[in-house]
This record gives sequence, C-alpha cells and structure tokens, in this order.
Amino acid sequence: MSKITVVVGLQDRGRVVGFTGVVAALACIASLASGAEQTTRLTGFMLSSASFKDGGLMPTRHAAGPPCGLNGPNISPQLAWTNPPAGTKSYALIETSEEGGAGLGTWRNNYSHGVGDVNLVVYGIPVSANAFVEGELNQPSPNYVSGKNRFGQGTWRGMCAPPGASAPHHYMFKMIATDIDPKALPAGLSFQDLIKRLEGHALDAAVLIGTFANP
Amino acid sequence: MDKFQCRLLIGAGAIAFISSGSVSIVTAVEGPPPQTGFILTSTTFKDGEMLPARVAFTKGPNSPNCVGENISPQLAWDKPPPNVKSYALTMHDVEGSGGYGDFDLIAYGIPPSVRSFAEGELNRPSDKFVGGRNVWNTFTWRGMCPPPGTSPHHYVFRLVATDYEPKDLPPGLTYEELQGRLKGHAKGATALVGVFVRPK
Repeated sequence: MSKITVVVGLQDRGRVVGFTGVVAALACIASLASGAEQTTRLTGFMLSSASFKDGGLMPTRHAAGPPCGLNGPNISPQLAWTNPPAGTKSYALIETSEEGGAGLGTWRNNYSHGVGDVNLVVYGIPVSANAFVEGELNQPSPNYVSGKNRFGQGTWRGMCAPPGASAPHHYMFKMIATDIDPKALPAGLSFQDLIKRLEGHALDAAVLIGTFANP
Repeated sequence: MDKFQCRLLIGAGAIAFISSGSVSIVTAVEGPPPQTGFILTSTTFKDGEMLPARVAFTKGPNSPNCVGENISPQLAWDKPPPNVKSYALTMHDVEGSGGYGDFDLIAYGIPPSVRSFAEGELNRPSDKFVGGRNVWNTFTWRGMCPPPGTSPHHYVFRLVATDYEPKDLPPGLTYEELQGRLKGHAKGATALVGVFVRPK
C-alpha cells in the first residue's frame, strides 16, 4: 500500500485517493480517509465539443466503419478543454463505452475503473494544446502520443452500438490533466498500462458524455 | 479451486498474455447479443441532464459542502434481455477523486420481478436488492457531493442483467468484487447519466 499517492483532496470529507492499482485503491480508501491533504485547487477544468452536446446524441459521421456494420465515416469529434489545474504539463484522453461488453468491457479490458469498452487511448498531449479539430484524432500527430484501444489501434475508433432495437449507448470522454512531460511516456500503452503510469500524476479530470444508437 | 477461481485465473492469464504484446488479435466482437432495447430511465431526471438537489447528499459536520436531502432517485427499466435472473445496479461519479471515479451505490440481487425503484427506495435495505459496499463504506444510496469550484460532474447509473439467482451473491461486495463475480454472468447493460454541480 506504500504506492498510494495523494492526488487531490475532493468531496465533502476531503477524502483522498490516488490513481493506484485497481483493487488496492478501494481497499485503501478507509486508511486514507484520515490525514487527507488537499494538494490541488479545483479550477473548473472542463471538456466540451462543437460536434455534440454533453449528454446529447453524437452525429453518425463519428461512427465506425467496417467491420462494424454501421459503415460510418469514423471522423473523430471536435474537442476543446478549458481551465486546467495549475501545474498541468500534459493531458491524457480516453474514450469508453459504458454499455460495451454487457457493461463489463470486453475480456481484453480488466473489467475495472467503471469502464465498458475502451475505444481511444491517447496521451502526451502538450499543455499548449487546448483543442482537437474534427478528424485530428484520425491520424498520428505531434499533438498526441498514441496508446492502444481494445483493437490495438492508436487513433479514433468510432461508435459501433449493436444493430437492432438497442437503446442509446453512452460514450464517455475523459480528459486527465497530468504533471508528466508530454514525451515522458512511450507510445502504445493500453488503458491499463496508462492508468498505472498516471499513478500519482493525475491532477484532475474533465468528462464529456455523448450518446449514440445504431439507426 | 472452484470454477469461478479457475475462470479468474484463465482470464488473468489471457490479459497478461495479450498485454505482453506477443499477439495482436483484431477479431472484433461488438457488445453482447442479443439486443432487446434494454433501457434504464428515471422520472427524477432525464438522461444527460441535471439531477435535482434533493438527490444530493446532506450537509453535516463531515460534509459541509453537500447541499441535498440524500433521497435516491426513481429508476425504471424495460426490455431486458431474455432469461434475466437478477440485476445489478451501480452509480459511478466518473470525475470523483481526481478522475479515478467513485462508486456511490452498489446494489445487486435485484429480482427479475422488480422493474423500478421509487424515490427513496434505495435509502434503506429491502428485499428488492442486496447492498454492496460503496466508497463510503455504506450499503445504500449515497448522494452526490461535488466539491466547490468544479465543472458539472457526471453520475453514471448502470444496470447489468445477470444470470445469477437473486441470493447467489453475498452482501457487502465492493465494486471490484462485484465486477469480478459478474464475469461470464452479464447478459446486457444499460446506462443513464445525470449531471450535478454544486450551486453557487
């Protein structure tokens, strides 16, 4: 439990947890509840998109192409972020489907962190960047380092809600502000690898959720 | 070693093998068939919109920033996958604890005959659910309480249809323990998202 790192004091009790190993974190919360120290001032860090509204439907142009069955153009959405916490050196961005894999994620994930399927893992986004234009996450760029999604891909992989009478799925974009130099992490990290590397380096996170139903 | 431990071991081995980078599998299986339109809704709030303050946690000596009455929201679900034997319900504050995320409600063993919870019904134990252990070490609804100065937080309610009998799982499971037990037993999921920001 010595690996627990104080990230940020939050919520009403000033409780503190770190980006730690999955099981260890929950097990440790009780021991961390006392002696919490607030290390980061919350700034209203916020993620938004010109492509869709928080909680609203995402356009079909962002949906996946073959073999998904949707034949979407697979264009990554516009994203912008503001008010990062002080001390931010780079950002990491993950996109997950809440309903994917029956809510557990595919077997390639570790069934943890409350995520379903992991569709996008990028990081090393320099603090000078505050937006991605539409399509910018479709090809490698100096504005980010590619990780690996559940398909082993390092770029945008659009929504592929199952066909039929499926209720809308929820796609969560989580932007994590870190104190890590943009070039510090190697390319190709999986979601699980990234979370481990962010342990003790995450300052705050901003979330944006879009929905999509297979027409 | 029982079947569950066995599956766990095999699963962990598979994950370790894959993440070692020695293979790259591109066969894509999208979600769980069959899709029935399984959907979770609430009369307390709409998907993607603000939760009312009465759902938030109450102010107290240890919770000076909280602004609500801690009344659990109404929830209802429809069109479950076939042969559901029980449901599991979790509520996840996805921005909580610096982005790590907090689980404020863990409930499972919900019988298939149950299709809704009235407001406040998740505030006390009942035969309609088995309480798991949330991040606050409680076993019933624990309303949201984002700190001052944040942008709106997102609260994901996720209902998983399972093939477990309602009394198969012991009470008090944490989120991680529940997720482990649901491996191979989850038949479909539906989510509902509310947002909340502390009033100025």
